[in-house]
Formats: sequence, structure tokens, C-alpha cells
Amino acid sequence: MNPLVLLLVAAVLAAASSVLIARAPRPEARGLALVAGGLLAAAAAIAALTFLGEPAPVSGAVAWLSFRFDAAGATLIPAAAFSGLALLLATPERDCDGPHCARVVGLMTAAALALLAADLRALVLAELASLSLARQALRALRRNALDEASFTLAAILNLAALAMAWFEGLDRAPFAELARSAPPLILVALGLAAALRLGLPPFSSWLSSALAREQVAGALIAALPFSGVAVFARVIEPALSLAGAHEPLVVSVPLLIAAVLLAAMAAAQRQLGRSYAYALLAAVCVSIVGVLDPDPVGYAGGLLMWAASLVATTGFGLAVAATTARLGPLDVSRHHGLYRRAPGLGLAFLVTGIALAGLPGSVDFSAAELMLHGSVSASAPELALIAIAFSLIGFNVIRLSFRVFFGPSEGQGDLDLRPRERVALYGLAAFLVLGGLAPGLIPLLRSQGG
Amino acid sequence: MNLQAFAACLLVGAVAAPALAALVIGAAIALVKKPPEHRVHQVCAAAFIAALLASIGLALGLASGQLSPSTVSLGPALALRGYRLDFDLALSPGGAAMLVLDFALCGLVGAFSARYLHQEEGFYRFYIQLLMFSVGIAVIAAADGLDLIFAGWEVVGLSSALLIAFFYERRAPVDNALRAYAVYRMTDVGLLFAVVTLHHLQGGASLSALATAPLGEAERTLLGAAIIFGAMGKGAIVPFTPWLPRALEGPTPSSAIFYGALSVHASPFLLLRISPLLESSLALRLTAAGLGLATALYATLVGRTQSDVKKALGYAAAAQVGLIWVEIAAGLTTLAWVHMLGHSVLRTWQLLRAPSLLHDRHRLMTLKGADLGPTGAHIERRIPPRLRRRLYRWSLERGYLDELLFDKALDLPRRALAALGELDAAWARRFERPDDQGEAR
Repeated sequence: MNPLVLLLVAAVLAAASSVLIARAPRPEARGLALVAGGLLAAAAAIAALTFLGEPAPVSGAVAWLSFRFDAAGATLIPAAAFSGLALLLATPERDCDGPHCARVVGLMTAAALALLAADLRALVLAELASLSLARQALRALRRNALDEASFTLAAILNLAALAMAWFEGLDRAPFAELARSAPPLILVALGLAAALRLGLPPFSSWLSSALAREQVAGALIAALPFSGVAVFARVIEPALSLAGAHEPLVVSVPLLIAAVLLAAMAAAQRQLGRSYAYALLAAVCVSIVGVLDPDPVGYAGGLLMWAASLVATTGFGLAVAATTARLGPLDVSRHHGLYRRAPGLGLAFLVTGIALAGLPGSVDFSAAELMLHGSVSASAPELALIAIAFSLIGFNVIRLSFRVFFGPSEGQGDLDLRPRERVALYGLAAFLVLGGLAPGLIPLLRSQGG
Repeated sequence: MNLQAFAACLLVGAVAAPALAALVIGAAIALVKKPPEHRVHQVCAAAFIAALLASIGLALGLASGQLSPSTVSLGPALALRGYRLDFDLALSPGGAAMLVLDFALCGLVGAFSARYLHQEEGFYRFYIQLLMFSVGIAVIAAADGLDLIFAGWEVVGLSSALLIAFFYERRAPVDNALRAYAVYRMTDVGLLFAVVTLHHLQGGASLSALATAPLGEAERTLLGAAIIFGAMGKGAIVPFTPWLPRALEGPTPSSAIFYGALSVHASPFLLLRISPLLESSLALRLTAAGLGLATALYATLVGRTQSDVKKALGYAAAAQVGLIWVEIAAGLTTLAWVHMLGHSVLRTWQLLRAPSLLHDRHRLMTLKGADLGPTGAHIERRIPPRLRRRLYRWSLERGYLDELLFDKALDLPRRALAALGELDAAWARRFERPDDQGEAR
């Protein structure tokens, strides 16, 4: 069975069905979306299992686009698919209409296609789709010129990069050839576009303010790092490696300083959603450092960190969304005592949070171990910065857990997780823990083992 | 199967037993919601007894020479190209002694708590956290590599914070738990730095290979300093001492083993494991001795003005840990071991008896036939009155360390970061369109 064909067929079906889902009435939209998303997730899981048996990349072309399924895809696509499923399951009722569900399915599909892309055309198209969906998600929440500007600029940069590559005859070239021959301007354009899309500093204002709102679940579609990894891993990192241009002071150190600053800002925030936003961004910055690592161990760690951070930030974000849906935006400078009323939510909040912090037993811990033993191990400042970033993220997770769930209880009544929320959150937590206890089963590590 | 292989199985079984018990209890709670308390206690007791017997067997075998120290390799937890994270355990006399202490005291506390926490709302939570803690200490005691020790260290830190906040409906325990966890995370940076540096310099994180590793003096000093910094948090070494008495907000049984016995002694245990590093560097030894002495003096002075028995015992424990650090720095490792083991048992007993302090005091007074009187009066008389008053004030304020560390040192960065966040929010608000409802405050 060709895993690439399976995934492409599932992606096309999911994309087509998202048009129907967008028009479906509210009660049915979630169900339809779960079927479509489930199809994609099942295809991703089967493809990953196939890859475990025969870890050789598979290539193919559809129309004028080239695709390739490899170990990185076998790890990241299931992570994106299952995170998307969890988003569909755990979105609060009031936020879960047809357009929202369609956007989630579309996002899963775009993420899968970006990771399968084998040339710049396919990659840029997938990134544009992701941008469009994220922009729609934010528009559904609010009208903010900063969102519009960020996403419009990101789209323009992507198109400019594609135009430049087309002009050079590189738009259909494999990424290896693109890395060798692409003018630096193409890489800069793509990198900036990804930074805008992900909300990296100094472009993070839209993300932190979007997550500080009451409808956190809607903002998660835009905020979670479903896309961007392919740009850094497939295009920018190979180009930097070939050019011998991996200067820590230019690449890793600024990102790590940003990660430490963001993690510290997360720990100083009074608002739950905003604190989560900064912690998410800190995790993304650390992941990018790994993905851009010229050392194969650090690079694998970076890819794994991206997958693990996506799942952990989805879980933690859904726990934050569930809390905010129940109690409104919370001021975490005081205690709220929610544990008595929602012990299951408290457990999910804590487990996904400590996974994000990279505590032992989680996939993030394995990813961090690999990253720390890449090229950063030779640089004391980088090592120290990563250690401080993880330390701050971990402290913030416990701070948020304790402030939200402990202390004198405010109010009465059961606010615990509903069954579908439980499945989503505990499912993600199980993935994070099981993957951490048996990292050898992860396709990315199996393919490069020993 | 030869004796050494059997010992390896015992070691693995001992470390795994509390983890399995935690899984069983967790599964029971997930399925049954409220399993019978006595069943939970029985599962816990069975795990601790099995692990304790295995540990005693190992300790006796090593002491008698029937077993020799070795490394038990369970294979790589993670392997990629040139990098390996090995799940290796060390069969050693010190490790076996620490395992015996872990399972004996945890088992004792488990038995004590069956009555102490009977029908308490957090009964099940307590046992799971106790088992988690025991696994963490067991991994620290039995791990061969610093990376595995780090994993155990983190588990101990998390379970510790959760148990301090056991009575979560009160603000004080929750705030104190957060403060303790902040200290742990701050100092864990040093330990993580040391793990990666050791891998980079030595090609692995094994502590058994430390003595013969070809490391230069600067490298040894850097490693040792990072590990000493990492150990300062859990050991409540100055300036991090104030978290320890605050941590005694949790249930008395957990306070007894965490802050009287096991968690607080993980720090000198780690120093004993890296003794080859300390022996090779005078700077490290002087640093450890200086920090230990400062802690002993600080804790002794502050402990004398505590009006709460648990806090007084907390400071007393910190003082003893400081002295153990001095012993290790001086190369008196056998004395340090004896001190550590004896102190753990004594302090656990004292903390468990703390609620009965007044009863014990009356009994002693009856036996003596007179008031017991204050201690240390003969030393106080030699201190000039003015200095005595200053010391008293300084001691009441706990040396102003809390204020310096958490209020003054962190206040400015905290306010600056919060201001940065406000600027960020204000910047985004500038672009809101008129029909936008605005960010929720």
C-alpha cells in the first residue's frame, strides 16, 4: 500500500468535505467534521505504521505538484491530524458551528499537504491555504487591522517567494536543488512569512491578544503551530547547511533569547489566555532552533519537539479554552479553586501542561534531550538559555494550574469535562505520555535509530 | 541465573514496584471512582514491602561481598545516530542504602497515613503522590547516569509541590507550594546544564565513569559548580532555605519523609555521587563547605525563634543538611553517610511525633520534676545584649532571605515583564475596528 496515495486521497476527501461542513447546521457540523477529520487521522496513522515497517521515503506527483512522504511526515502528520481531531471534539458548543469545524478540517489538511510537499509550489499553496483559514478564524472572532496586515503580508511574501522561484526555474525543483540554488531573498521571504503566520516576535501581538479573548477555541485555529515547520525544515535549514551559514549568533541565540523572554512574560501575566499564548510562542521558538540545527540529532529533536509541542499546546490550549468557557477569562494573580468542581479538567490541565514543560515521561522530554545533544551542546550560552526557557515554562504551568484549580472554591456546581472533552484531552495526554515512555516507536526516531 | 543477575532483577523490581502500584491505584480510581481505602493501602503496602525486601537483600549482599557493584543496563531509552540515553541502573552500596531508606520510610508513612488520612478527601491523591515521590527517589538512588537522576529529580520536585499544596482549599499551602517549586525549577537549570555538558565532554552521563573521565580542571569545576547549584534547591541550602519550613504546610506524614528525610537528603546524596569531581577541585570543596556552613549557621539561628514546632524542625533539618555538606566537602564521606541515614530516621520520627509535642514535653517535665528550660542559654549569655537583640530581629525575619529572593530580586523583572505584556496588549488594541467588542480583560 502506498502511504502517499492514501494520505493524498484522504486529504482531498477531507478538503472536499470541508465545503459541505461549512454549510452544515450546528448540531451536525461537528459530527461531519469528525468523520472527515477521522478519515485523515486514520490515513495518517496507517501511513505512519506502514513507515515503521519499511522506512523508505515515497515520492509522487499529482497534476503539477510533487509530494513526498518521509519519516518527518510520518511523525508530524499524525500529530497534526490528532490535534485537529481533539480541537473538533473539545471545542465548546457555542463556538462549534459549521464554519469553525470546516476551518479545523481545512487546517489539518493544509498541514498534511505542507508536510507532504516536495516542491515550492505545493508548499506555498498549502501555506496559503493555512493562512487563509487562520485569517478566517480570527475574523470570526474580531475585526483587527493587525491580524489583517500580518496575514496579508505573509501571503504576499509567500507569493513573492514563489514568483521569484518561478523566475529562477526553481518552483518545481526538489527542495535539495532549491536549497543549493535559491537566491537568499526567497529564503528570507519564506522565513518572514512563516514568522508572521506563527506569530513569532516581534509579530506576536495578534496572537497574544486573540488568545486573551473569551472564545479561546476559535483563536486556537490561528494560534497553534499547524504550519511553518515544513518551511523551516525543508527549505531554510538545508539552505543554511549547504551555505555553511549556521551562525548561532544570527539564528539560534536570538530565537532562544526570545524564548526565554516569552516564557518569562508568560510567568508574569495576570490573564490566563495571554499567559498561555506566550508559553506557546516560547515552545515554538525552541522548536525552530532545533529544526534549524545542522546536527542530525538536534534536527531530529527539533522536528520531534515541533510535533510534541503541537500536541501539548493543543491539549493545554483546549484545557484553557474549557476553563475560559466555564468561568470566562481568568485573572491568575488570584486563586479560583476550580479543582473541587472540575477535577478531571484539573488533571488534564496539569498533564498537558507538564508535557509542554518537557517533564520526564513526556514526548517533549525525549525531544528536548535530543535537541540539547545537538549542536547546542557545544555552546554554553545556548544550553543555558534552553534550560532557562524550559524551567520558566514548567514553573508557569504549575503556577497556572495552582492559581486556577487551587485555593478557596468560587461558586458551586459541577463544571467538569464532558465525555467528548474527556476523550479529546485524555487522548492527547495519553499520546504525550505513551510517546514519552516508548520513544523508539516514533517513526522519526526509528528511521534514524542507533 | 547467577547471583549477580538475580540482584539486577531485584534492583529493577525494587524501582518498578511503586510505579506499578501507582498505575494500579490510578486505574482503580479511573474505573471505580472511590475504591475501598484499605485496598489502596494494601496495594501500596505490598509494593513498599516487596521493594524494601529487595533493597535489604541487595544491601546485605553488597555489604557481605557476595555481590559486587555493577551497572545494570536495561537498554537505550533513546538512541539516535551517535547519541544514546541509556536506562542504566547502578548496583552500589550507597544506592542500596538509599533505597532501603526510601522504601522503609515511605512504607512507614504509608502505614501511618492509612489512619491519619482516613476519610480525608485527598486520601487517594496522597497515596498516588507518595508513590510518585518514592519512584523519583528510587530512580535518583539507583540511576547510573546523571540524565536519569535528573528525571527522578523532576518527579520528586513535582510530587513535592503537589503534596505541599495538599490542603488546596487554603491559600497559604498553595502559595508555599508554588514558592518551593519556583526554587526547584530555578536550581534545576544547573542540573540540566550539567547533564548535557557531561554528555558533551564524556560521551555519556554515567557517574561511575566520572573518576576516570579525561576532563580538564576547568571542565571539572564547571560541571561540579553546575551540580552544586542544582543540589542547592532541594537541599534548602542558603539562600534557598526559606522554602523548607514553608513546605511543611502539607500533611504531617509527607512533611516527615519529604523534608525530614528523603527529598532534603537527595541533595547531599547527589554530592556523594559526584565525590570524584569534588575531590579533584579545591574550589568546589570550599564552595560546598562554605554553603553548608552558612546554611547550618543560618538555620540554627532562625530555628531558635520559631514558634511552630514543624517549622523549628524544618530549620533543624536544614542545619543538619548544611553540616552534611561540610562533611562531604571535607572528604568525610563515611561520616556523611552515617549522619544522613541517622538524621533521616530521627527527623522523620520527630516530625511524625510533632502533633504530640506538648504531651511529650509534659511527660518529660513530669519525669524530670522541673521545667525543662531553654536550650543554648549558656551561649546566649556570651553575646552582647545589643547584638542579641539584632540577631533576634534578624532571626524573626528569617534573615530577610524571603524578602531579598522573592520580593526584591524578582520584583523589578516581574513588573518589567508585566509592563511588556501590557504594551503588547495596548499595541494590539490600537488596531481594533469599531465593531470589535474588544479583548476580554
